[in-house]
Amino acid sequence: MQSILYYRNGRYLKLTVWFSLLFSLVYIWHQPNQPANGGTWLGYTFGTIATLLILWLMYFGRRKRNYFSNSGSVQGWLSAHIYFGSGLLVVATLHSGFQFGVNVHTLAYALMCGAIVSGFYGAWAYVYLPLKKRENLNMMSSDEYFQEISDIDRQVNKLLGGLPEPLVLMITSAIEQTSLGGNLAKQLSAKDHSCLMVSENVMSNEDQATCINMLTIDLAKATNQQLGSQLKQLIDLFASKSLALKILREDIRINALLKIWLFCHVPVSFALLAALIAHILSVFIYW
Amino acid sequence: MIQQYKIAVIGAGPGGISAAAHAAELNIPHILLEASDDIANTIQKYQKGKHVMAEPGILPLRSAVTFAAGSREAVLSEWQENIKQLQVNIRYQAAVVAVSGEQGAFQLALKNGEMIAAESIVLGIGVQGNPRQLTIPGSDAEFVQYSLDNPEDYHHENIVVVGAGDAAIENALVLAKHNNVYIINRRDEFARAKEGNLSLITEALDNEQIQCFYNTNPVTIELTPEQDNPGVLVLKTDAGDVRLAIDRIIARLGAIPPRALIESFGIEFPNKDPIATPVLSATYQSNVAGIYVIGALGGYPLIKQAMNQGYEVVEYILGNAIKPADHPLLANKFAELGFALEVDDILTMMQAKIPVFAPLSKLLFRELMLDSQVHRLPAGTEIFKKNDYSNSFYSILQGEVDVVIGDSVIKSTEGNFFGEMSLISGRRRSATVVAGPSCIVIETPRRTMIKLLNSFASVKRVLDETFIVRTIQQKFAAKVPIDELLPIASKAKLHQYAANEVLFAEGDVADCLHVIRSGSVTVAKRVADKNIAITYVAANNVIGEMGLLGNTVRSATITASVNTETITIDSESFAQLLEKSPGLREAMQDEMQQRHQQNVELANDKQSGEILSFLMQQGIGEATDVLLINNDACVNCDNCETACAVTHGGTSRLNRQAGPTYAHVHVPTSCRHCEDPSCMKDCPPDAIHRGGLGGEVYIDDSCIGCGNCERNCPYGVIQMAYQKEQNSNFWNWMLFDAGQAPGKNKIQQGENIKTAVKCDMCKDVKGGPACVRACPTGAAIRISPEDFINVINI
Repeated sequence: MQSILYYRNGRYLKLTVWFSLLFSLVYIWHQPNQPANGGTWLGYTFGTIATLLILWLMYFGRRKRNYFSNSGSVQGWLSAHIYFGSGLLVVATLHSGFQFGVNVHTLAYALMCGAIVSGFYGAWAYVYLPLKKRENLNMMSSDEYFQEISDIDRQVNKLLGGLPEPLVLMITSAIEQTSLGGNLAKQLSAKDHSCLMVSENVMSNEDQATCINMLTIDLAKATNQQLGSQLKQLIDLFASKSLALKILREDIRINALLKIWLFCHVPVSFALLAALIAHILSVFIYW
Repeated sequence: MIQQYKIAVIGAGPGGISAAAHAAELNIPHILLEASDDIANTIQKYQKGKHVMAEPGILPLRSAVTFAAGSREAVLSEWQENIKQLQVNIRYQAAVVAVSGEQGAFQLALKNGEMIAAESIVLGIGVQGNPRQLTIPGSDAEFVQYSLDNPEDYHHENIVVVGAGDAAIENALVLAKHNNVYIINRRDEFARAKEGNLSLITEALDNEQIQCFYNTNPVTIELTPEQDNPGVLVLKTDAGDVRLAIDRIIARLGAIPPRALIESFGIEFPNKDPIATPVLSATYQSNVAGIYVIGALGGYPLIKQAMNQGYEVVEYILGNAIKPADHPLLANKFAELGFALEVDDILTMMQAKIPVFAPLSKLLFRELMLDSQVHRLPAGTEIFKKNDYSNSFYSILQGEVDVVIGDSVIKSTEGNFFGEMSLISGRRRSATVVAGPSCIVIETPRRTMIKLLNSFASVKRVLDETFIVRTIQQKFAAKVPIDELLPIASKAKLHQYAANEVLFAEGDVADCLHVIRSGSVTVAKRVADKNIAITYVAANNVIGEMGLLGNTVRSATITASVNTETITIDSESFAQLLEKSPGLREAMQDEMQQRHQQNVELANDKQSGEILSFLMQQGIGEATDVLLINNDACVNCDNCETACAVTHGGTSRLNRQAGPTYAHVHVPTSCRHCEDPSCMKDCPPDAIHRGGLGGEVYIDDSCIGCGNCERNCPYGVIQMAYQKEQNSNFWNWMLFDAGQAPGKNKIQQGENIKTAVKCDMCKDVKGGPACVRACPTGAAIRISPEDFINVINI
């Protein structure tokens, strides 16, 4: 498979490395009669390149949604986006001449670094998380796990006949109060917030452990063979359910991780654009 | 006193009403006899509000009665109105039980004992009144029935419903309330059922309210009068025979002509086939002079055809040789040929010149020509190219064509046909065909030809024989003339295999080779006591020649992955072919050596085999181009779906998340462009087509929204969707939040019916499939099954 990082034999990786080297050599060769900064001719050149790069990088958001476009494939664009974005770090740093301060110029630089670093995370997530997701799901799809859970619930309901009423209430509440997903924090923590009711008290049922525990207590006490086998089956079902839920929670966590970084990357990029405009305007106004 | 009429019309369906109305219009003494209480029984039985179609669209309506597409209620009330206005002499509850006499003096006996006299009879009774019967031993038992009047009559019974159509499902569901119901399905799914019924039956099966036997056929019914249940039904299932003690069998197997009644009138049928229709002249007259047959009973199930026939038949009875309603269409079609002949004469000439069409009646051939195109081609015109995806059938009316296979050219002359290989296999064209001097060919669409093949054994036989000899020539003996190959071809045999049936097993003695004619197979090798699938072979390829060349046992097990047809050539014939074609042995040995090497590599890769088996289980064996998603790269962004929606009027034709997964391979719900598409089998306006080079199956704008294709697709990739509005400009949405996000178009207001939508492989989008081009990580790929091995190893 062609990963986005090795797209066309790392075409954009090579381009980025070569240009970064070239720019660095020019920077070393260039000896202005003032400290290196954005105001020299080389500084302006790097600044122009960096500005164009930022605009081009942000245009990716449009290209991705331009479904009729025939300029390359989105995969190629993404590969270039990742590497040219990394290259931006070199160009912009050379443009700054390593002069930083508490001003709008350094703010623009810092925002750019924020966008690039979140992008690094995104690239890592896009390459690594799908593998982790598949490993977690283990040959099945999340839909199939949901199906499995509803099958288990159905089977549990069928097994309830003849059980003492408090136990039936406990089991039904365990099914009703099984929780999955939720707000962002819950999705990311993948912590189980399931509950159940035991004689009108709400108790945590993390990993269905309380439910299983209660069932084993009853099983140990059971003298009737029929009841014993019923309880055993129920314990097995809740154990399978707990496993399926765990896998789904991890799946939800990975899905969240795959999405969440964009909520940082995109706003920071727009903030960068604003800061960049301020940076350029201020430079020209106070020339 | 017996009432006397000039024309008695039996059956108040569309054809009968039209005939009687025309007679009324002309003031001819007539009577329209209807067995039931109301007109158009078949249409009355449609569900409430059903949209009645007016197909074929190109055919003009010629009738005293009006008819346009509309709701069932509107159509029926319009007809009632017409009957009243024209003062049609209609009599309800007047079932005809016997006909005697001859032309000019027929006597019709009604069920109530009354007699009616008529000079001519028009029979328009349709086929729906006559359900298809079970034909297994014991099926004459009184507890076997073919309809269900009142389900409340049955309580606490063991009831078996045979059939998998809507009627069967509806009966099973309603009976399951108070009875123990089994449903017998010959296939492995309810492919013919409406979506609503499908979900109801699936739910009932899940909840164990009904028990279903799939892939099962009833074998016998044994009577057990001394036991609690009156009978035992023996079933043949995949897992062996099953015996069910039963109280009742309800068979819902569709309808066929009420043959016994019609034969009692003296009308003859061409063969014993239960779906056969009576032989008719070009004026709809049966073999009994004075008895005319129109509509579904005559083989014309469409409403408009039946109505036109009703009008025409009255004219014919009056002795007016009017031209059929389709005459101008044909005249127009034949105009460019420049023949100085009448339409009828051209048709006769065509049938005389092209033997494969000779067995067709004049009426059927006429209909075939309405569907067909006639081409007069300048010499040198390419009719189709090798690897094209067209699949129509061509016959040569005049001149000759050159069939180019590799570097050899075979001439085909007047009266011959070509293009039958792709017609049958559904695969790409295997040769290029170029028109010779003064060449005229008739191009018949695949749908029409398939209908013909299914109803005419003789046409099918001719095609099959030709197919075999041409396959042998193409595969093994391109330079050997057809005549020399005929003896070998006559020994070759056609075989049919159901999905998962084994063609031959590893270790069997190799006694023949197979050429796959349609369908596809998987090749599996036994590794450590387990069969590991190693590769997939599509139609138009040869398998089993390795064993024959080496004179050894089979080195692998071959299993049909879908319904598959093959041609077998035995070892003796194959030896003759090797003799006739020098160089063939060497060429095949080279290929064999390569394949041996490949097999060893693939057999060692267990996961590949498992993925291949998984793909075959998903029915991808019959795919020609399928969308797969590599889960190791998919980031769930759904850009593929958005891309599809944006490029296709706002409705995505793929569902990324749905569909099965195995290891890293995910099969999303999206069209696979089957080699023999089920969706194309029953499209009333013929709106589903197969494209050119890409081979894409697509639906054009003439879709009427009947939903047949959605129901017929075994993979659930066709959806019924409303037309959507065009979306606003991207930048307006992006910058000012105006309008809808890309791919989230609003549903169009006003008159808007749901029509069928499916993947068209982005045939109208420059640059190819949008789903693949829009995937940011390269996880989405489109692939044809021949390349599966590559996918598995990505």
